[in-house]
Amino acid sequence: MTCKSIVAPVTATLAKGDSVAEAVKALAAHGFATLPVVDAKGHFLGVFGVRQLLALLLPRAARLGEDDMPDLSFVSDTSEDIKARLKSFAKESVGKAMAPHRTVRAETALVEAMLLLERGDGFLPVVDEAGKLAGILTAEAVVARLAEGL
Amino acid sequence: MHGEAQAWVPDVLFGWNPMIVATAILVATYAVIMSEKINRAIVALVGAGMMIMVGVLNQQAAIRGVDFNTIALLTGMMIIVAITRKSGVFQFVAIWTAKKVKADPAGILFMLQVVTAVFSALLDNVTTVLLVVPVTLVITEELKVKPWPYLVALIFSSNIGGTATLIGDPPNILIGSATGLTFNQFVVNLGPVALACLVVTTIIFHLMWGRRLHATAEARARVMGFNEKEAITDWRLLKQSLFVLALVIAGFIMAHSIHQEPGTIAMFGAALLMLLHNLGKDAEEQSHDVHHTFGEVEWVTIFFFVGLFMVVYGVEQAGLLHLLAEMLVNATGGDMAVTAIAILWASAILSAVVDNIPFVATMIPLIKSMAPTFGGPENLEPLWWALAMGACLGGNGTLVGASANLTVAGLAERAGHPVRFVPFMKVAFGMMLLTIVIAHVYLYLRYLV
Repeated sequence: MTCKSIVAPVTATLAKGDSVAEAVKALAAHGFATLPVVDAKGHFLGVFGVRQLLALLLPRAARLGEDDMPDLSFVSDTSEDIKARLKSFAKESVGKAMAPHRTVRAETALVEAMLLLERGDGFLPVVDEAGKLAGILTAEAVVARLAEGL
Repeated sequence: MHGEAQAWVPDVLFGWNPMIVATAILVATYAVIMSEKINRAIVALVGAGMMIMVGVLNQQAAIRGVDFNTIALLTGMMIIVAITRKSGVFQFVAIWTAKKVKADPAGILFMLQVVTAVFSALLDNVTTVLLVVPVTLVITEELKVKPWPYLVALIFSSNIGGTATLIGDPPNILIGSATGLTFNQFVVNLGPVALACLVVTTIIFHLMWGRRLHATAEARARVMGFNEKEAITDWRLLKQSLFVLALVIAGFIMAHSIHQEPGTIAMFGAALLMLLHNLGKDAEEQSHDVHHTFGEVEWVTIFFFVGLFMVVYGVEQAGLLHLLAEMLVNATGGDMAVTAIAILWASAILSAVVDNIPFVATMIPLIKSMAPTFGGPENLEPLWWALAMGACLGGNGTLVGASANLTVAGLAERAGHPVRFVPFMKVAFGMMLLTIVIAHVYLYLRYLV
């Protein structure tokens, strides 16, 4: 079985030129934790969501990862400090702040897609052979389909 | 370094000249290491394998070439640091010192250099910068000052601090292990010059950058609000680690009187710390913990050393190093002062542009074979100090001069503050030459007059 019949259409995307502030509004308006980022021709470029937003709100050294920056418990930033950091990023483009993300094709075997979902963020952008965003595969949709008729 | 010469005579394929074959393997190995196209551990092991396969060495001879004291010292210290760093003690010290100078950017620049130099003297340089750079980046971001001056200064003080002790920098570990010079001899002979270089570089960094760094009262208050005690993640582990680290350093200091090699002391310390750290844990937890600790050992470095020792032993056995030593002695007219100064400057310039470990590994047997010219091995001491100072301080010259420099650049890049080759060299090369001038004067006044 492939992913084809479970792929949902894309309802919202971000453009790489959108600002972080616009992206935050779009996330809230659509109620998604993450949105795909596409170029003018609809090619998939990456994702931007709450995790990328958190990365912007933390001190940059947090990007060094768990091994090199194991904790930040000693930092005493107030919520005002953190909001100030967000403000300084508000006009930055989504293209700069987005993260790469694994994709699948509609023809990808369902088991393979499930493996990627299990290891990743719980959703996968689906692209066509030209790299254009063709749909979204979510863990919820897969589980819902497999639970049919239980 | 290589024990007693055994009755192994190179027996090269097709009756080729061993010296030419061994030299070709050495040159090819070093060329590929310098090209950085292939991981250096792979290159060294392939080179070592070829030395054996073509018959310059056999397996027993190759193993005799490996300096297991160096390997044990490196591995033992890597294990001790891997466990100690989990306690958060290094972050604690960095934050504590930043607050001691009231979060003044220039004061922090100075304090971080001192802290880095001290850590580097007692630990490996790469480890030190891995511990200090992340917290430095947090502090500079909170102060809203550019991290660049701090990163460059950290590189300098890590290489300068590492110069001061037997365990501070891989070239010193190699030299100490090969010659039997003790931890204390290193401190007494190289400590003063390292201190002089640190004083001069901190003054220059202050005049060049420190005095122009300013942070708002608000930003400084944020750093003053840091709670360094929160950085300590495990108090029990902290006490265990500091206890073992103190024990190991005491062991290094007393190594001569307790008749133990540094390799044994470091490895025994590592085993002791693992024992303390695992007491009271169940079998599964212990297995997971030990697995993780061994995983933190930089095996790339360890295997690089193993391969390199074999390659160098190959050329040594084939007689090349003896020949080169004769040529060097002829060139310097067998004059101790000229030879020492030549070694200092050549090692500094070479170490700035290529990896100093292969260079030092090759120079050691070469210098050893000059013993008859200078009236015995005990008279070679100035040459060892010249090599150590040149190789360690020379590493500051460019971004590729020492592994610690590349580690800083790598961390900074990932945090969005790239340190580039040319801008670094513009500042660093001249300052490196200045430290070599200091070393030159020191070498001359202390050993050669």
